[in-house]
Amino acid sequence: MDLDELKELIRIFEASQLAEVEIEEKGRRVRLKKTGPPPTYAAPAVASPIQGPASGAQAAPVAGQEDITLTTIKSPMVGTFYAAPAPDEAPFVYPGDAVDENQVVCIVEAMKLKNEVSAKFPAIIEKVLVQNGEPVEFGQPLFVVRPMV
Amino acid sequence: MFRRILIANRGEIAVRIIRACREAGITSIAVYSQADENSLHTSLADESICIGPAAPAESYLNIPSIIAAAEICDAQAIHPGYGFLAESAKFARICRECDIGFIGPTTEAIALSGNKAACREKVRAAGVPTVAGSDGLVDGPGEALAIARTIGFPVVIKASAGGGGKGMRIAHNDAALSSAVFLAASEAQALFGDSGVYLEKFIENPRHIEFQILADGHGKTIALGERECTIQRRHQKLIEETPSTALNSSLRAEMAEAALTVARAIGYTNAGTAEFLLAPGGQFHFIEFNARIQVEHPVTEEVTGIDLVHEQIRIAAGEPLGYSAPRPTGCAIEARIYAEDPAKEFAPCHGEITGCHFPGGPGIRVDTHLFSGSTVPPYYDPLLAKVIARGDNRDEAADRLSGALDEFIANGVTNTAKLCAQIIRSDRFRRGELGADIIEEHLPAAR
Repeated sequence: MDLDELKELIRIFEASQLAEVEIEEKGRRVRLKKTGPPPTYAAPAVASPIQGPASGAQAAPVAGQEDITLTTIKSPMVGTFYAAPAPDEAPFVYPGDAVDENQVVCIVEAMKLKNEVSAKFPAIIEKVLVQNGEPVEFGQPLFVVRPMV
Repeated sequence: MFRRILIANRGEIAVRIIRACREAGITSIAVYSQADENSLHTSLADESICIGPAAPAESYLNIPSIIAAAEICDAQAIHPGYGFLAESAKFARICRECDIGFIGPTTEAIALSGNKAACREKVRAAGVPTVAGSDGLVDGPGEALAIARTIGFPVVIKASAGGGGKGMRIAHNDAALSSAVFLAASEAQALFGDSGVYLEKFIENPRHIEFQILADGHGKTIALGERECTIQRRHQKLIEETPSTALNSSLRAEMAEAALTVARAIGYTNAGTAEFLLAPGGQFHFIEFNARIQVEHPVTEEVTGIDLVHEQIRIAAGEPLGYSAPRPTGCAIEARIYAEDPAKEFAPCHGEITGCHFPGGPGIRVDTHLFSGSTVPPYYDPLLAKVIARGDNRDEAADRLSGALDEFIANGVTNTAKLCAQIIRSDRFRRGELGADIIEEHLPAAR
């Protein structure tokens, strides 16, 4: 591979979605690797009354977090988030609490019906992402949690 | 007037309603399933909220999710579009109970229109011709046989809770009749949760003529002309036009008057459509009333200059119509572009739209939610776009529409644009000799 071919390879690689490429040819090996996050397409701007990231895959790592062992508990429905069973009672969970899979972590209320949301897997609550009384949409992350294996 | 409206729908009709809101300075709120996260209606609306996963039952048909979304977004009214919950009396009732405006008719009018057998009886009692058949629901194969012998075969058994051709069976003789009744009733139970069926004489080679109604909440009802919808396949319309070549002015006036009588008999308000069959001998018969805005509403808009969606919103907000039926001018024809493959029995297609281009120029309108890079998901109805052409006369509208359809591109998903173009160019279409078989004539050529 001569210099021109290498330059062309680098140009193609940079424009591509690939993060890493290794080519071996006649005993010579070239490896190209991108630093930084892979390029992503910008999503169309969506104005929303709901504060919080858009819904994503079920147990995806939290965007922007360094620690990939963290995940989120997402809202199973549209409604209003309540951290406690009643206005004058203590919240279901605090950051640092360990919860088991059936433990109720919050309520999402819709059409006057209070729906209990459970953890679905054993985990430690790391962070509460929404405020008491805040509207939430389907799939909106409510808690950052560290799953317990 | 409403300041914030939630659109409980998706696709091209959601885009249509958002545009009407935008024009009127009303904040539009879109709801979307996870499959529609990057859909046009989601990004075009002023606000948007995810209400569930892809499955319609868990999103666009999920009443608690939609009402919850309306509550947390402070929507004052919901426009249901067409399909989904548009003709759900339950949904209309719940909206009103939750003090949310429902942009459509009353709960009672929806319920009556949706009960095809009862609606037929009511309309007949008001003096409007209906197809000969049973008095209300049929009790069983015995009663069906007695009626069929009186009115003559062939007959069609229809689901009372159905409509739009769903849950219908034709029987040509005694032997076929009782199994047809049984099968129609079972299908009706499975599809609609209601096994009630009624019987009508089967009219061969009818023209499908429907009349657009607008009625305000102050006692005024007007008819905005007809739409010819004979070009259908399996009760799915493909090409619609106004005016109909089958009507002269006196028949038109008679049918318009009948449509008004139907709307009043039902106690109808907001936008709706009275459907008739025009038999080859020239007699017309009421078959059903559609309590919603229809897919083909643009052809009426193009010849009357009335924005039907805007009028729906105004009427729902309590405003009076304030005008009489205008005299339509010119002709308009609409071609529906479906994500279906005419060469494969209209099998639905889905996938990514890799590139698209829409026609333009004088008298051309395209209602769509497509854009390059958008996806056509497999979960919903396959309507991609409506291409509408307006002209001073039918030939001009047809010339414009054929050119527009040739120019229309939606790559990545097989669709019906070419088939529509072929039909509109055909001699038979140009002569106005429309029939349900016109589509079959062009199928091999579309391959």
